[in-house]
Amino acid sequence: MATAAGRGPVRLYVEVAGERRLVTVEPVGPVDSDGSRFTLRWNDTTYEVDVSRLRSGALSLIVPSAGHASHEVTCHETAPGELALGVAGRHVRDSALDPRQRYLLVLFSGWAEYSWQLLATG
Amino acid sequence: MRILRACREMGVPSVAVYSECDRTAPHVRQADAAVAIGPSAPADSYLNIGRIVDAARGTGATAIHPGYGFLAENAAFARACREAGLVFIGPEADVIDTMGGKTAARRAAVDAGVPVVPGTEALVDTLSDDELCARADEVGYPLFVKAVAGGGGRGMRRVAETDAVVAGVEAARSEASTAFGESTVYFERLLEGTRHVEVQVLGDEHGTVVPFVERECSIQRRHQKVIEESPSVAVTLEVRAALAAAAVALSSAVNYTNAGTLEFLLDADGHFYFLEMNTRLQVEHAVTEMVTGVDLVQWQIRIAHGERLTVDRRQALTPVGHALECRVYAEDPDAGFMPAPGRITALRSPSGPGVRNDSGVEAGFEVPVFYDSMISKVVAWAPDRAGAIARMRRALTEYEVVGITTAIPALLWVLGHEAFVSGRFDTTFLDQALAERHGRSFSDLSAEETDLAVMAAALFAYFSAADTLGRGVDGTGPTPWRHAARLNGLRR
Repeated sequence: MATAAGRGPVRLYVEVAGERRLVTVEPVGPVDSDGSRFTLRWNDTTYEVDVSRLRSGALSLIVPSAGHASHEVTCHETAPGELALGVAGRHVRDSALDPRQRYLLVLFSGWAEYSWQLLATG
Repeated sequence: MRILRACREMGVPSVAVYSECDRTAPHVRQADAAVAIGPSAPADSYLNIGRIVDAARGTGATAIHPGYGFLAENAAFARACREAGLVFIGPEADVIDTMGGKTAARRAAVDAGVPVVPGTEALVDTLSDDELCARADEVGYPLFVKAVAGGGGRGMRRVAETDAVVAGVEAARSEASTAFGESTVYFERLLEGTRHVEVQVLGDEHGTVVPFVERECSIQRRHQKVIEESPSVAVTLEVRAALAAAAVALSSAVNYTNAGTLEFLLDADGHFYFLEMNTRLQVEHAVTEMVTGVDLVQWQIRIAHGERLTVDRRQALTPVGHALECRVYAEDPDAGFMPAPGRITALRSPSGPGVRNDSGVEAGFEVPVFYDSMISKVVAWAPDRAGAIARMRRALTEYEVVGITTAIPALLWVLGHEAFVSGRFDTTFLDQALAERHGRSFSDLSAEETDLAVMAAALFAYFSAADTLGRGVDGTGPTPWRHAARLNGLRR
């Protein structure tokens, strides 16, 4: 079920394995509650991603430019703004979402609308 | 769960006992009846013989299977069961006393003509410091100071020279006293470059002993088995026959009944030395079941009720294919394999062709801090070893445990290690290979995997925000009020 039309890009910082990247997430067409197509950009590289939400905390990603294989990735929040990701049977720690830490802390503690707007325009 | 499954297949009703923290454990909910036996601390529940016997009496149970932990090798427990008129599914208490005591088992092996690792048959506790050193010099270095009641690497110290003997004895005694309540120790020569192989036996009350094809358990971390397999790549047909003959000779000599395992060290020339006997079902029994098709737990129950053993000896010694077992622990391989208990929030178990997962947990289960942190044993079978390794890698990659940290990444690393794949390893392989990593994380990702992680993190945040908002993340979607109004409209 399409819940909203994705219009503007959203930017946020993602830190994986000690390296921080400013990632731009932009829906391609309507965003379905279970998934959709997105464009993700960081470090001058753009990826088209077909993403499907499998269940709480699990995503299936198909990246056409990387072989079309479906990659299952699990995510669970271990602390406000911090995620543990499961990729290929391994858990990635110290993977943090950190778009100016204080905003994310607010985001995950329920004041989402306000903080997300800050985030989206940041 | 393993025992319950066997009972159910045999039409035998089962009663589970549980401690406070295991109230919601799968085995409690799946048994035909369940009885609380006390607080979570093992001494107050699973090690409390009186409470377990009372639970059996109170429910009308006629037999007790001791599993493979806690009281499984406790002669007093076996005696208490028999005195209460209950069938103890295991060997006679006197046999547990003999074979469970490592020095007595060594003496029995020598008497049965089975080669043993050079060491002391007598205990060394009463010796003076000078006498200790002299006795150690006779055994030769390096040696192990071993606790008679020890196991799983506890109560054991490596000693390389005379000057370290007294300290080694004191450390081993102290650890054994804490872990097992029994501090007596003995010396055993450390044979280097050896592999750990073991022979499963079943013995009935009519004098029949059947040996099974060997299991190889050389992949150990600090003397704790991590990966087991059957058959061993290092065992020839001649060595297998000799191992089986030795196992039968020793088991018969002590009138062994029910399931037991004789552990040996095997050197590069095919010479083997008896180490000890486990007078119970082993954790790794599943690999034997997979390559022989024999249900060992069902046979334990049948033997305990006086049935005659009819397992074909040739079938038991002729493996069909190859099986591997990985012990999956809730522990953090990037933190020195520290236990990592906690709540499992989501779980996807491995399955598919040739895969068996003996597990005692499920989503929502809290892995307790009180007990061993093993959450399951994954077994992979294939027509050959390479196929079994590939299947195990596939199974562990499928295995998803969310909410706690597991050692699965380390297991996958071992399974891909050249020494493991080629079969060229001994009992020191894993500790050395881990040391050579110099603490490098098991979570290191390839460039492609790192990109996936970045994408997933960003998208997860995107969806989380959308869920929290109840609208499009760019703020243009319907508000929660609008959602509610639409739902109300649909209900009309």
